[in-house]
Amino acid sequence: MKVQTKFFGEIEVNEEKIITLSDGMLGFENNKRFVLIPHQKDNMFKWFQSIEDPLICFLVIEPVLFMFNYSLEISDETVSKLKIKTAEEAVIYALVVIPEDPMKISANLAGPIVINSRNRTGVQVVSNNPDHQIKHYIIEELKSNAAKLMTNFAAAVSGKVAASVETLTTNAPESKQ
Amino acid sequence: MLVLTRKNNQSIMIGDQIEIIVVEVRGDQVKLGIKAPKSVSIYRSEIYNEITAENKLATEAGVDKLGEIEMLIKKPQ
Repeated sequence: MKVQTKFFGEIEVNEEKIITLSDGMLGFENNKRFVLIPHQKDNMFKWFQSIEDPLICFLVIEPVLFMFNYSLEISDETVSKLKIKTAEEAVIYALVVIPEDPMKISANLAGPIVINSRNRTGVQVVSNNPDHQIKHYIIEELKSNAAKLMTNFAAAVSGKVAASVETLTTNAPESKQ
Repeated sequence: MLVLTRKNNQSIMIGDQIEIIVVEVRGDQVKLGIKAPKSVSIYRSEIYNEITAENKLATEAGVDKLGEIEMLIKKPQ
């Protein structure tokens, strides 16, 4: 079918790719059918384009791509609503807001969209995790991830390896001269 | 707006499916119990309003700004 999009003009969409949110999204209850369009090939940002209204198009990202140890507890209600059978079926997207200052790009982890990739039904849920803020600053998060990696790496270089790692490795071979 | 006065453990019905019970009143806090069908979404109003507002902001993202951000992510700071 042909779909009018906000940024890519008219595109051809396989009907099997359509994602249905039977409740719509908060504030957008009338928009129920969407299509996920990568910003560019293999790009981490995607556009969540409404099929009913070309002007309704959300920028989304998978939180696991920028946040260490991201996890979301999906309620039984959501599991039964979307008929989720395995955790792998569930794909989570956070809505992205780009303000005037692009450094302050943020993802909304308080109200993520959960999609069952098998039957392509989705719902916007409210996360009850207090660490999941409404404005999670992506670039700050990436910097702090980099800092954490540097700290871990520096600790490893200076010999402060975790005990669990120590039990796994043999002693360094003695150099033969 | 309809305003009703209720005491502890008293409730109100909204339609024939939804019941709201006053579970506890302590100082300026009221604890409410809600019985509703699973298909009804229940949110604290402020969270509902915040997410609604954030959803609206998320529709304002443009292709041009995203280009700037990709440069920021790719280039070391």
